[in-house]
Amino acid sequence: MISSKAGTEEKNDCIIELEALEKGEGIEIEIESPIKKQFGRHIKETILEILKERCISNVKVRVTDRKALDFSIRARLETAIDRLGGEQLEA
Amino acid sequence: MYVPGNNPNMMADCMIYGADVILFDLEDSVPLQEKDAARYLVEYALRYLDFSNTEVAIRINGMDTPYWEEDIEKIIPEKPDMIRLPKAETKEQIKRLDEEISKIEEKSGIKVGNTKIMVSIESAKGLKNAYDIATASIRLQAIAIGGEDFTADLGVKKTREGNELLVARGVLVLAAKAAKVDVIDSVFSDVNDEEGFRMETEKAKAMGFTGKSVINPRQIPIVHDVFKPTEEEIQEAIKITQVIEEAKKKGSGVISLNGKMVDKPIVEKAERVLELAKALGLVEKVAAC
Repeated sequence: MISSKAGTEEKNDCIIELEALEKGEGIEIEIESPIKKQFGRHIKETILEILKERCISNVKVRVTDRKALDFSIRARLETAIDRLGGEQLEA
Repeated sequence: MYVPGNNPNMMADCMIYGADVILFDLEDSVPLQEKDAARYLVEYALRYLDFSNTEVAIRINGMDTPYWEEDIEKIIPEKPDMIRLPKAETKEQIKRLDEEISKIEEKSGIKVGNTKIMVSIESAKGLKNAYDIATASIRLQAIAIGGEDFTADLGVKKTREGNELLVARGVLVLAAKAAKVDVIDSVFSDVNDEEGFRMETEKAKAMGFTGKSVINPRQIPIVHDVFKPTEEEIQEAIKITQVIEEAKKKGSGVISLNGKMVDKPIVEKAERVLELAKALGLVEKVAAC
């Protein structure tokens, strides 16, 4: 299993864990957040936006959120994508 | 104020404490295995957070490391006000940094020269070359001293009194004044020692430093308090600018105030006082008195 992780459990941060999936398996997103009710959809949309930008279509994303702001979610996801192998995944 | 580039919690609200410059750090406060994460955090912080009128500088990794090129590659397109280069030692380094920044600015559609540079001198070699470093690029706005690294290079202990840094501070101020750039004093690490911090800040001001780096929001009001011009200085500066304006209108060459000649250095000093007073929101207050 190819996987990666970025982020911390500190306040205003989040941990993003990625697991590469087989071609055709699509995108799975799991979100754990104290503000999931209010912001779960927004977090998901942000994740999907970045995955689209990076042309990644087969991956499992687990978000452990500690009320991270947008800039932090985006940065953590980009880091996790790079750590997973970035360009190879995109192909 | 230094803010670690790998700490989203501190990054999220660092702009609310009144610092003149926020300095996101990609160097010493970021462990090697987190350099990639910090670059992304700083990149997105620059893109998404509102810093209002606060200047934003990024301390990149030193040019003796394999990280600095990737740092500027990611950061320059986000238009920070300044790049801070640590461990500056030669003018060649500054010229190289300038060239690399220019290439990225050009590639990113940013006006070449938009990004300013400040450097910190952290070694005896750097100090010997301080004037050449300070005049190596038109981008260069300020030089600073990195006290911890500098004392390590000298092989001496950094003390609360700071006598071991007296010569270095003096030489740095001279180089900065000759090069006409700002000169910023080192951090004071013990955030609980407010008296020691104030004492060091007062010394720095008296020596000619134009600012001081801080590591905690609690230190900001002390720096502002020490560096703020007095009411008398502001009143005097306002009067000087007024007599200059009147003299210009009259076409008068020789200008005097209260019987004393107002010459170029006095005008420049008055302008600096007013600039600082305006930045601290003190001008209207005093003018209304």
